[in-house]
Amino acid sequence: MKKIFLLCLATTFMMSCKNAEPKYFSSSPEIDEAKALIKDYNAGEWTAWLTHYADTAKLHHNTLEDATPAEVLEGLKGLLAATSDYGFTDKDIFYEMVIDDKNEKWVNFWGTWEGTLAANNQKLIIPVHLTLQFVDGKIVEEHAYYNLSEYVAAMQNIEAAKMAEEEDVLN
Amino acid sequence: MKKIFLLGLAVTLFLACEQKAERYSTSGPEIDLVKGIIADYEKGDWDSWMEKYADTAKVYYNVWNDSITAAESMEGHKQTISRLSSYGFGDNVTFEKIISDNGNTWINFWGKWEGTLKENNKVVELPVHLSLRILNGKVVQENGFWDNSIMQTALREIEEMKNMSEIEKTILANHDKMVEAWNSNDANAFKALTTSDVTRNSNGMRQAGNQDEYIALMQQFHTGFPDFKVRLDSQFLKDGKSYLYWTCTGTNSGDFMGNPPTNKKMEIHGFSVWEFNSDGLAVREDAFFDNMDLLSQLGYTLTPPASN
Repeated sequence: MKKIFLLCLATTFMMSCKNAEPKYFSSSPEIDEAKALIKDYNAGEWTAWLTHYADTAKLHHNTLEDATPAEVLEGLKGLLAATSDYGFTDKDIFYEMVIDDKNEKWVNFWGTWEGTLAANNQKLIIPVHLTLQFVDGKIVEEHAYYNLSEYVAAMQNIEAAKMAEEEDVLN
Repeated sequence: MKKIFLLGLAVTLFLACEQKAERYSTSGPEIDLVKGIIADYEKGDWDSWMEKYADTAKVYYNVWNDSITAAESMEGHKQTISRLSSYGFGDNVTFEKIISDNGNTWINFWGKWEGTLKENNKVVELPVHLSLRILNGKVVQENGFWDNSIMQTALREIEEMKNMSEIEKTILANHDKMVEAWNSNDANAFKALTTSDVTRNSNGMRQAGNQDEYIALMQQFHTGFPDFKVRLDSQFLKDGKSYLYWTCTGTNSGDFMGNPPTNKKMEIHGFSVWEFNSDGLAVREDAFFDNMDLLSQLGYTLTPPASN
């Protein structure tokens, strides 16, 4: 009887062990996919960049409103148009994946974006956090958090300098 | 012997399970600590807030280097809050606890921050991510990520508003009232914002030469699209003229310009230039939009001319 009890106990633990599968990963195919996304972004390989997203993916960059990958791509291109070089650096970069209580796979990314503004060679360093939900190897949801204050201020300074220059020419 | 073996197996499995499961969780004392920080922040209970940080805690907001102390972070928060009539994170927040590869405990937080500016009642919405490292029941490191330019733009608008002339302030306020008049198809509200001889041109063609004709035009849209809505995407004001980018939406469930309903939805983007008199009343609108786009969305097609 005792044996049966112990056997049952062991089986129960094994079953519960199955339920408690690892939920935290520092490597996974989804993390590799996120790394490929960053690589394509750095290289400006936009066709390849788009392939990491599901057609119906919802992206949120510093906003609560939904955008499609194509819309975000246009926005990114707009920001990058002012730069002479840009990209995520190799330092201060971190990836992890969790499987949450809803059984959703989320890859979290923390990285450092560095870029140079073409107009005045000003260097910008912007920490970025991305959280990406994957289904069947594609991103279905993306939330991005990064501070554009310095970028906006720099662009305003460039614009003001340009206007002052034009006024000088007119005078 | 067997018994001991089985017991050993059970204990081993139990421990293995525990170890695997605890690298990610959504509850626990560390999460409660961070929930407490958010609650203290929302209440403005700064003594309680400060107690949750270690004396040596390093806070990094939108930077990787150059940390500030918890006390400096608190001063920053207080300064922002002084300009707000209300602020906080709603209920739509996410917390998770993870144990990193090097054994550190981190609480990740995602939420929507909302604040109302005292001076113009504008609501600023910011998605915020915080990542806090907890050691011995205190926060030892906090990294925060959000787009501060959204708040800075809102504050700059207040400064610009202060520097505006009275007439410019009136015109800006009238933009919002005009949108409201269009959306509620309110003829009286429209009349209060325009001169009696207000004109409207669409793509260079005269569409209305006085208030009544303009009101008939609004009615035409509301008959064709009973759920008609217009919103301003952006607005600029210069030398008494305003330049408005707008988006119209609606479902064509009524007769539109003599045509039966198609029950199709439309969304069109356009641009209007408004001129105002010295009292801030609108005297003229020049609207530009793609009429063909509108009709195409309703299912109308273009037939090429018959060839000779």
